[in-house]
Amino acid sequence: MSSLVKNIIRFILFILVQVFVLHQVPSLHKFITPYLYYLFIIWLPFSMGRSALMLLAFVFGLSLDYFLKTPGLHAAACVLVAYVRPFLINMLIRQEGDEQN
Amino acid sequence: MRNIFLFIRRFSNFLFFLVLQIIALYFLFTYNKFHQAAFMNVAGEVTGRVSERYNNVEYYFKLKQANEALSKQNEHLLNLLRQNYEGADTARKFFTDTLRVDSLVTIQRFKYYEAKVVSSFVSTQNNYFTIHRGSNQGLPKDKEWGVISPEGIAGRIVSVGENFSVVMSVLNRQFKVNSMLKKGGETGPVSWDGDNPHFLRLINIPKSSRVAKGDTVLTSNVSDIYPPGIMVGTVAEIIDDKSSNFFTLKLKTATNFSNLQFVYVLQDLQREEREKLEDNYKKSK
Repeated sequence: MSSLVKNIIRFILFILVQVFVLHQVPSLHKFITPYLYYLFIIWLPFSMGRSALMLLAFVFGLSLDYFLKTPGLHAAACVLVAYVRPFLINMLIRQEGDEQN
Repeated sequence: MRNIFLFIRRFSNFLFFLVLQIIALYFLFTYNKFHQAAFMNVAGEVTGRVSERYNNVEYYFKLKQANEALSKQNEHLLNLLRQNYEGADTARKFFTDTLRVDSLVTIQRFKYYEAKVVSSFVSTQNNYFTIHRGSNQGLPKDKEWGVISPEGIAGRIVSVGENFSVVMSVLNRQFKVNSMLKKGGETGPVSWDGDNPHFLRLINIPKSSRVAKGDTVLTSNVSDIYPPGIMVGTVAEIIDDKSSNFFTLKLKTATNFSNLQFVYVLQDLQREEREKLEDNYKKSK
């Protein structure tokens, strides 16, 4: 399966799981709702450009927001995750190890 | 000039990040204030269709509770029918009041529309649900209409789309409704503190009132979107704050929000007249 198709399926699946499964679960310890959707952004291909990554994260967050009726809340969080992701990847993955793979 | 372009090129990612954040936060704050977000109506149609598919499955699992609630409401309404009342004394007669709809002046104030709930959740602090009725099905736009369930109040409409509408649930920290104790008639605002979806809070009940556990709380006459006498909940706990002259009451909600399937939208037919009057007064002041 090509990376594009895989990520489109992931996009849809993560939104549906977040809206219809994780948001239907009674809150843990009264206040905590489990959020897994940002894994979509973290799992995007490393080769993606940063602007494209942020734009995709914005669209992803906003489409989730329209389901949850909080337009902008998750979009802002997703854009932040997308912005920080390259720094974290640089920090966590050793450069030489990256080249060997 | 060249330096500016260099600066923009160097920090283009950061600037793009800031722009997207500002757009997102702008959406969020305008929605929280006025309940109007960009593309919300269009998006509401799409998310509504998806939610409807999901609800087709979910509905079967909640049929039992939905049926029970509806049949209880039927029982309540049947008990109000005129033919149930009959005295032994035949001199006493009952008449139906024919004044309900006058051909010249309509005195009906509230009109009910039934609607199916297609998606709802109670897991966050600001809960909304979507109903399958919009402007194409006769719901007037641009106003906040009250929404009740067969068991009690449910919320109020914040956005009307073509086929779907978004309802702010009672379980939303921005929701407020004026209500009263059925026994004494003391009024106070009911709101939700975002904690437990089974309990609401009623404040400003004077300590002189004789309130007891299990008392019924209804919407009051001054509530702007509900008719008086709609069930809000029952008193579950009386919190006696020594430093104030008022009780805070913890209410058990009448409506079970986790399996809400059918609701009624209340259109206030006399609202325009009232609002015009109140606006005039505000202006002249």
